[in-house]
Amino acid sequence: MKRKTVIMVFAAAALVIAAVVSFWASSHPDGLEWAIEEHRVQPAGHDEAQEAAEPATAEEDADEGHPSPLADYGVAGVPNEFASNALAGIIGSGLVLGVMLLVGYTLSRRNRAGSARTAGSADGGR
Amino acid sequence: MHIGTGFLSIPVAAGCGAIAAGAVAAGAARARKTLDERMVPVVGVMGAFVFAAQMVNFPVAAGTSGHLAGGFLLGLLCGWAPALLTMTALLAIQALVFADGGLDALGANIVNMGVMPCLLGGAARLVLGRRSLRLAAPAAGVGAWLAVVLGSGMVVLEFFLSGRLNTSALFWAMTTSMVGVHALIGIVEGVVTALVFSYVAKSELAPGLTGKEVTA
Repeated sequence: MKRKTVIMVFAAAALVIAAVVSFWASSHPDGLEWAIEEHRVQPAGHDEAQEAAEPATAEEDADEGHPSPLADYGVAGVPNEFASNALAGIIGSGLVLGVMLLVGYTLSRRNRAGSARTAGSADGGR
Repeated sequence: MHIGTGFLSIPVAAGCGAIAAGAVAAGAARARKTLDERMVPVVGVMGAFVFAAQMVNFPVAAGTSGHLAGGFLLGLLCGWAPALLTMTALLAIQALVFADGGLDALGANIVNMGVMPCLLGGAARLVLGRRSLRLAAPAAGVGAWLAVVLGSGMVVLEFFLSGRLNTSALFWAMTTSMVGVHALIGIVEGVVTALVFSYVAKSELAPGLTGKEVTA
């Protein structure tokens, strides 16, 4: 298998998982959230009395105190849940890919096969 | 396993932030020296793959769920430095854009799901690359399982140091719950890691994996 095939397979897998498979993800709390609830571990500034008077909504819980249009892996304003999830997944995977291409190419600029460091002995190595 | 807002004390959050920043700086320096330009798109799509995989929560026992972490896998396939940079970018994007994981806990989340698993994965890469796949793939799976369980223990430690677990009964209850549930979640992490490793090890990228051609 060629390197390019591997790249295409990972890209295709990322797209299908982010846009389609993730729609059926379990909505149960993850291991840490579950343990926190189970043992009633409270974050700082937690006010028992206030919480009893007005329990935090699911949305407040989901946004970690800094609301985002993409909080909780959905796109605010997209009514269709499948589309909302798919769009969020594609945006997120795309962001990771984009950032890493930028960072990777910036850092590896001088590490082309056959760069100046190995000049004379290398032919490009492709 | 993303720690949310408000669970860590300022010293713990800052300490983890400092460890994460130091490790990322070391990773960037290492990548600048050794990252092969041809590996960059590989690292990028693997990062996108891990982001996608992290979205898929699968049910575990007792109304709980888990999802892949992927740091060990990235370390194994790309080397610790590109893996750590990728996990850092991924965790920062999750916290900033998707409100998944607290901003105050970003350093700790990078330590738990980036620094530790990426270093373990990178170490496994050096050891396993020279072994036959029949031995290396299961060993990679065990390594990934270990990274998940160790990470869950680190979360408990960070909570403890932050004063969130102020009785020893609570500390042990939390340890038991976290390690127990992540021992289950880690099985899926291990199986997926072994499968993906087997696939990549049979490809053109295998020379990098086996250390004959150091790519990172």
